Amino acid sequence: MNLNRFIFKLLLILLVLLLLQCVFYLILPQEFPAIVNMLSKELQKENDIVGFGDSSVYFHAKEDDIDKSIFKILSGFYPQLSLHEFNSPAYHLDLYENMIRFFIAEHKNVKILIIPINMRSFSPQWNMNPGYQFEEENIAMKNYNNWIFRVFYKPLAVFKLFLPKIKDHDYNNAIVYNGDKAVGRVKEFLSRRYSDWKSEKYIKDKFIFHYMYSLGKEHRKISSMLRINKMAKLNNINVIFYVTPIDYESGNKAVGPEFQRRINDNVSVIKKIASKEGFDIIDLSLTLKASYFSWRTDLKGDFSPNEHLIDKGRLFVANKLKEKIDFIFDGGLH
Amino acid sequence: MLFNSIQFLIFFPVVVIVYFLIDQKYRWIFLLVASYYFYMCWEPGYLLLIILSTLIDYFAAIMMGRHSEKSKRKIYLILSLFTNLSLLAIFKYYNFFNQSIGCLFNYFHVDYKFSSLNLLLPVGISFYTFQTLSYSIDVYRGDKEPEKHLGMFALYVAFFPQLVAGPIERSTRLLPQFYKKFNFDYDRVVSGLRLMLWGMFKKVVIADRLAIFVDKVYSKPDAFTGLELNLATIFFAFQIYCDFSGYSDIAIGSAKVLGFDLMKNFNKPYFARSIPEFWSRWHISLTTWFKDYLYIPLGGNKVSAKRFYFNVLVVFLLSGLWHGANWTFVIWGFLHALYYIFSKLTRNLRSLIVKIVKLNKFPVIHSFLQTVFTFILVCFSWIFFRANSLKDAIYIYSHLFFNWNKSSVVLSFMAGKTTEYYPNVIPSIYLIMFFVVVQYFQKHDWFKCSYFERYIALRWSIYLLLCLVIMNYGVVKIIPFIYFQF
Repeated sequence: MNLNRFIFKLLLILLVLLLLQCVFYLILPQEFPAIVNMLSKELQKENDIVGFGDSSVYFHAKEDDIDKSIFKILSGFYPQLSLHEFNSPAYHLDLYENMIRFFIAEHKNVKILIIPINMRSFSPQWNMNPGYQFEEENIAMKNYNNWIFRVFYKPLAVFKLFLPKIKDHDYNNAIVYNGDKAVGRVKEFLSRRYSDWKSEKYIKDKFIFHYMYSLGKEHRKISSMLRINKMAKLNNINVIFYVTPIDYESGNKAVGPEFQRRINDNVSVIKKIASKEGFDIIDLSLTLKASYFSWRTDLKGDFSPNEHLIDKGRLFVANKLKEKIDFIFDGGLH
Repeated sequence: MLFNSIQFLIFFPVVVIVYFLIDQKYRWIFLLVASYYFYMCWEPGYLLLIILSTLIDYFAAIMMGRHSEKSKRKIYLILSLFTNLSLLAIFKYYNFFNQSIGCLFNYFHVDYKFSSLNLLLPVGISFYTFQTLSYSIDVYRGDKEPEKHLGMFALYVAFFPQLVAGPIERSTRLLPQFYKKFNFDYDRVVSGLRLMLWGMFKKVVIADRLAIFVDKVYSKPDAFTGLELNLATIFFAFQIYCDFSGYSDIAIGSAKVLGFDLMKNFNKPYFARSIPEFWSRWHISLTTWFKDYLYIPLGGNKVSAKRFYFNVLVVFLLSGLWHGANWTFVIWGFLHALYYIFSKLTRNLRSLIVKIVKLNKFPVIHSFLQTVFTFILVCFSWIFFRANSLKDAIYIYSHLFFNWNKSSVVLSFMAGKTTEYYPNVIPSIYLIMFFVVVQYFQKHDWFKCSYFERYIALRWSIYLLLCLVIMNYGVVKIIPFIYFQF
């Protein structure tokens, strides 16, 4: 009797709650993740250039004279064109793929799409990091037009339904490679303590952790890149892929000459696959010297060697992209 | 598995339904499996540590029960203490002490080459270690008969509601409850669910909202002005309280639904009128643990004044260290020891001052001033607790009263603009005000008034409102329960 009464009341309260949630949504609709709203609202029906990116496209040093992102600099070169940029720390190819799928589904046309390929994003430090999976954004983009999903999106998000499929356990136990040699697990690299963030040991460890993996053709981010290219072709979008510059000078100094060889080998894997599929990639990985990077000024536990550029570095990349865009325009946009 | 996750929202009802459906004699097995599963959702491998700790304490207690001579019992007590404290030392403190010694050697230009251990801290290790220690000590003292049923003992160590962040239960209270048969009790279940709902609100709506601004400021304090440092510190005081007491409420509530009584862990600590009173209201299960197993064995207050101060100091320093392997926690403990001793030393003097200024004729004002002053002292100490490093803490202390007019909160407020974090500041202030009012009502038992009890519509409206607010204004970002790291 007791139990029956309880179950009846519980079901009743749940039902009322569901109804109230629907009413609540109609009165005060809850926002989707920022990137989904931005893509939906900022992109017009017709767009000239759209740039995606991680922190390497916009992060600037305190001393910079120009604090603009690469895309902002680029838009200065083409005042007559519309240029939209969508970037945030740790964005990567898997997410870009869903972003493109989303704006295509929303019937937004884009002439040129710029996509950076950050070589660090293939490393376990990034690729396996649960915090960098953007599960919520991906699910929200896939279900944007589903009314029921929209009503219950916020409660589901609050109760962590969109937790990444990759768990902390997987991340912590992912193997870190130096070339083909396993040199530890992620948890070991994360829990190492250093007397000084500027110590050679710290910088070397981070360079290994971030870049010294051996890239395989089956990497899921390479598959994402291929699918992006396919979707773009189908929808008459010109995609410009570029590999972001890497501080190879500091890498060579910290790890040895094998650092540059490793970067070269990994980028070659991507380039070969791209060329096989009939598209090219602008390789800027080994184009800039150490003085173009800003990471040393931010050196701390969470700011280790990375691809953040000072203003002249971002200007350099913008100019390289401009060459490609000019080339596309000269060839006549399809 | 987080309490504020879909996983738990599915796990818990399933556990409750199956628990009440199966026969009493199998319930402990089911709860043990559920508890192990609950723990394995974090790091499956670390379950072995719990099992190891369980087996050793079980064995040590059984052996203590077989011997009446104190010396022999002591051997098994030492075995238990050594095992548990070694696990804690290896997983939690080794790197801290290793690094501290390394720094000391470096300072004297002496070569020191002991490498750090690359280990992740097992969730809740400090909680279950202290729980099992209390059992071994109780058995050694003869306050508790050794538990003969290994399964029941394993359940006592791993009982999922309180496994990862307490309350730290005593075997004398919890173990006998596992033998009792609980039938479904409507009032009890509703009361447990109500507590869980309020705990969820405190965690998801208040604590996590406050965490946004607190994390921002404390991650880079040198980018903020005095006003923001003060605001963040006050926010943190409420964040940690709502976070931890929220967890405790969910733990106590979910145990209650299953039929078990866990001890109260918080009793409106920010209404305390002195530091000793604060400690009788804050994290009660840990405070009483230290009192029963450290403070009183050291002599408590029935010793000379000097020895009493020493005892207080030891208890608070160890309490600080229990919270985390960092000097900031040790100093936090030290600061509270100073407060405590100072409070005892000046009791007569303060009474005299109160009489001189005739504050005793206005007890409400007197009580209010005492509460505010105690709160300020507690907030002051939270800076060490929350700061990421000693350097950060010192920076915050030395900048608390500077550049208030340059604060971006003030500037943006005056300019009617928003900053990246500003939108969270005003709601956070409202939430704190709301919470304080609710606590005041709870203090005076106003929620037990006849209106609330009599009118079902009022009760349901409040339940539904709380649910809706949690569902729609809860924070999406994953902000782990603060005490998980301990």
